[in-house]
Amino acid sequence: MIFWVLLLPFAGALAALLVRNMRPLALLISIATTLAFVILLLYDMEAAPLIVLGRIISLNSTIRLHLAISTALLIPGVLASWQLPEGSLSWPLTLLGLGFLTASLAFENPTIATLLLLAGLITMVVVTVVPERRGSEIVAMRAMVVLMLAGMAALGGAWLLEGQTTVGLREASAASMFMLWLYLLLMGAFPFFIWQAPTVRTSSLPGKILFAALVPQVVLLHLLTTQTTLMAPIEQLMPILLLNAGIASFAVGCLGALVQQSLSGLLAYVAIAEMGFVLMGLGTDTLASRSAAIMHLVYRSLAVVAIAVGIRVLTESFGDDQLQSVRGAFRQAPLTVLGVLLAGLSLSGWPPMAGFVTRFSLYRAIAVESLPWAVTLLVLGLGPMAAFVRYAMTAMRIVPLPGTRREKLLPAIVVLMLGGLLLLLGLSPQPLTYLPRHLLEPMLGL
Amino acid sequence: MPLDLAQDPKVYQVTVTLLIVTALFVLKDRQLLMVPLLIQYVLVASLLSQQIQSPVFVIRVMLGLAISAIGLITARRTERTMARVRQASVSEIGSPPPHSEGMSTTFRILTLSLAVLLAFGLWNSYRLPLPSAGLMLASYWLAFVGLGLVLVNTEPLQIGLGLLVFVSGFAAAYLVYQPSLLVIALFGMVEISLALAVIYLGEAWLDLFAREAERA
Repeated sequence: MIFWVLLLPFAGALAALLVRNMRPLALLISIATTLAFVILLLYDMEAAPLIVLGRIISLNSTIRLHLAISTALLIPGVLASWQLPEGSLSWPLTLLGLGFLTASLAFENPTIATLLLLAGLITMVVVTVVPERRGSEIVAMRAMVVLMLAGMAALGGAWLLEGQTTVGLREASAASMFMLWLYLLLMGAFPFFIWQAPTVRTSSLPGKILFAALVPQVVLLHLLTTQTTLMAPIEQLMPILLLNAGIASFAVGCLGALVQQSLSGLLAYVAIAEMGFVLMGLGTDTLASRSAAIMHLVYRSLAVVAIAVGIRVLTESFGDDQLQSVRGAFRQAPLTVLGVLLAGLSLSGWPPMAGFVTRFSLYRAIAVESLPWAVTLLVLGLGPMAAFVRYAMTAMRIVPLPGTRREKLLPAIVVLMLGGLLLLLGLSPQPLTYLPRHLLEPMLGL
Repeated sequence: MPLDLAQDPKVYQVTVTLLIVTALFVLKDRQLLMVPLLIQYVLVASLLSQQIQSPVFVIRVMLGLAISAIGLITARRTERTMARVRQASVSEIGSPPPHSEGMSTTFRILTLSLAVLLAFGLWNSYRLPLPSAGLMLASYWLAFVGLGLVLVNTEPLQIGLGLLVFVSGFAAAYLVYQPSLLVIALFGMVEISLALAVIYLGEAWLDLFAREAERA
């Protein structure tokens, strides 16, 4: 069964690539592959590992579930592409990258896992390029440089970790730090976030979904599931490192979001801030805060995807996503504006959205440790909230809108549905507790 | 104790080859840049094959040929497009287009010289536990020169070239400790993916540049 899980994204990518000039067919194949992949991942959660040439290949139930959630994030993007075309290579390369990412999670050997992760990242960086937009290819190239430098350091770390019994504790700790740096870099966490904000800002829709939602989620998953193996030399240090990286990322993201003049920039920095919040929750290291952090990660990803699709719709209708350009956008794109607003408020932790529930739990957990810090973080958290309120006020102004087009209906409905889902989850999170045990435990079992 | 180049003929040969490769990297002609790219792949392949008992020479040389070949196609197209744009700009407004062709030759020479000095200094003072001094020198040299090329260039194709050289330098040291065929193959796959990505980004940049030049 695991063989089919690993094969499917590659097969889907190849099929979509072959028919890339027949856009409807390519999109159908992409959606079908994504759905089938999600179903396959959830079908046999306790599949036995595969042994190939002496290498163990396995995906445990926790990884499968979170990977399924991450993959499902692609579906809204593909649906939106029905009426908002992306580059012909975007979705085939996204599936290819997903295949490499999955394979990297399946191999226990750290060197092979890192090489596969690198291959996936290279593929995904190419997806970020928007052919008509000046500068996106330069930003992509810079991101590639950063990722390859970090990747080579991680390969060195992986090699040292494989020889843990022969190297000293100092070398093993250094190796684990190299791996941790790669993970923090990929999550856009402080101090390695600098490459991520411009990449997400200039990226295509699939690129935004990949680098703001899917990759950080999968990488965090990788980090948490290797805590007792790759991270063993620094396991005691991990909560402190995650907490500090989380606080710094949150601060930088919140302050950065305040000064953004475009929705893409706002999304990039809020995504960094919220990933910081997740890391804080994991670093606080209580059961309640870890569970809240994992749920917050899922809500964050949903909101990011909604906003990313919304940005694409608004760019199509108004030319770009600068705040000046979306003045009065509510008249031409009411569903999109509303959906983006709901998702943005969830990301900012505004009640009664889904993000508020988990954020409140984490604030409480942090307040137990240190009340001044909790208050500071609360104040910082107002930054993204203010930015989204500013967006809402700009979009809802009554101004003449020459030369604009109405929103495309299907993607607008997708955005609104995702925003509505976040509102629903916030109003009544109880349905989550009715999830089957074999799904709920792996979900929170990190 | 610093290693003496004159006493070790292999190190001397490697140094001379690396000097030639670095000198060729100073050139601005994108097509000619594929020559030192290929040479450094062959050099690394031959150095590695002396340490690893596997068909690494064939794999690395074929990898180098493939990457250089696909790079040459894009480089050729880039040169033609740039020449056409330059000609059109000179005939219309009497001067070349404002697009920067990267840093000046002097700056490139200075940066790459600095990179070589850093590599040499590190090779003398901090030895990696590698079985061959020549391999260690090649690893440091190519890694630093690759980083230097990333810094001095402004186009995706040339930045990508620097990145490929850096990765090749890393591979020179890394694959000695990871001689498994699977790792060598996967590393090669990463390099091919990187090369294809660089080509794609280079082509995207070129298409945009050509369109903007036509509009201007």
